Amino acid sequence: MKRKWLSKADVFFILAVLLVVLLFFMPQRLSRNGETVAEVTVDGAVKQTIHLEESGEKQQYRLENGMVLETENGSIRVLYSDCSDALCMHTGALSRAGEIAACVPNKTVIVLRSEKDTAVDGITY
Amino acid sequence: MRQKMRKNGKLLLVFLLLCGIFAGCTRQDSAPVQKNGVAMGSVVSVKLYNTEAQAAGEMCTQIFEALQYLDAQVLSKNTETAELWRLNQSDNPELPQQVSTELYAALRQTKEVYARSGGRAALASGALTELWGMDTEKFRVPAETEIEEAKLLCSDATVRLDTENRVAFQKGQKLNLGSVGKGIGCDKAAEILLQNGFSKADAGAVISVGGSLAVLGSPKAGKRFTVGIRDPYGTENAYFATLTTDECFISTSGSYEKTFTENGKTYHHLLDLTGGYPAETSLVAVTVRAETGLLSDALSTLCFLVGETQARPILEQYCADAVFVYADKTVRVTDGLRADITLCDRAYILEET
Repeated sequence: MKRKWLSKADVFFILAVLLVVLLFFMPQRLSRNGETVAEVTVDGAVKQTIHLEESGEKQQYRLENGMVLETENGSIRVLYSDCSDALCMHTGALSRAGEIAACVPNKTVIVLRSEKDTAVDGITY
Repeated sequence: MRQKMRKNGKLLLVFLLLCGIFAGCTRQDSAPVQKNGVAMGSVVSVKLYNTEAQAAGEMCTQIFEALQYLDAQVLSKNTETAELWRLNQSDNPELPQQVSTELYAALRQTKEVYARSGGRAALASGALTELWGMDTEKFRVPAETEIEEAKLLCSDATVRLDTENRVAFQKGQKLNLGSVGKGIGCDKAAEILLQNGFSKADAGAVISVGGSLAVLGSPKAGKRFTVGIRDPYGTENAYFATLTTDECFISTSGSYEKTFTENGKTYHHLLDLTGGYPAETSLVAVTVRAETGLLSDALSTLCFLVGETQARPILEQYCADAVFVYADKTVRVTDGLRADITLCDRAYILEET
């Protein structure tokens, strides 16, 4: 009797298993990769962790040092700072993991993080 | 018998497939620990790979403390508590004064590198950088006469570094480590990691002190690090190229940093001491990879000021490599890193040399 090593039934079985596995894991992976968090550090201590939602409405956060941050559609930027150079405000909106906005006079650093690896380990400037 | 083997083979196949899928889905390398803060007047971030969280936290704390100390007690030209400030304030600087081994080493190495710049860069650049307000970020364009006067005080020919950590210089001169401070900070950070049990063999670290990087160990076993080079025409987080690299120190000097505009003209912070004005060059940035942070920082400044042709033999002497970025977005690199660079912005063109 000639029997194929993989019968039609076998192929279906394997496909079914694959599908179940994919269905089980995909949503988890997608949500994990999509979630970006802004970590706000003042004087070396983490003061706030803000979850950036893709479809988020404009929302403002005021820090103790007077700085105001604004989130919108998965991005965050420095809306106001009393510093003299205003570099932090010029940095604009951050939306990808690894991006940084900093206010040196206020010792404040905002870094975006995500479970997904960032593309580079560091940036030289 | 054959039938049974086939059956087992089939099951094995399914089993292997499932294993592969599960491994693919659940594999999670422990995320690197990253701490950010402000030290030495710039953003400092410490990223540790494959390091246990508590140990990583302690190392980060020590690094931040050491950098603050280094700046406020040793290297700063503008802080009254710093050794360099006191040295510069001396009533009679022509009389040799003893300084700490740490400060002496920094002064000696900086002077040695800048001696190859044909007078464009110097340890004694303070008179001019202060005149322009470069150190305090209160920029202004000085009058021609002021510049001519200050230029006379910016030569290292009158700076003497004697034995036993003794330093002497002409009255009115100001020694300045501003252009190498971040690099020295990178060296310090690396030193602290190694003193605290950081093992290059099974851990990795990328430390950024205001954009100067110390890169140690590896991100994963057998992997190299990838570092972005800032796009001189982009936003602060944009990079036009990536560099894959093993352990090294990397610094960039670019005319896009610390700029100011007066009467419609934009000035950058890289002064050519022979003219007394910001260097006029077709370069917009130079990134240097070297064996120490001080070297990468000093060499990137030097390369920017002297230009590619003169810089190449100097880089070779120091076993360093560089990426030269021109205003027309052409990029030229030294042979040592040709295989490591990847341009990721189509507007830039890597030119063969």
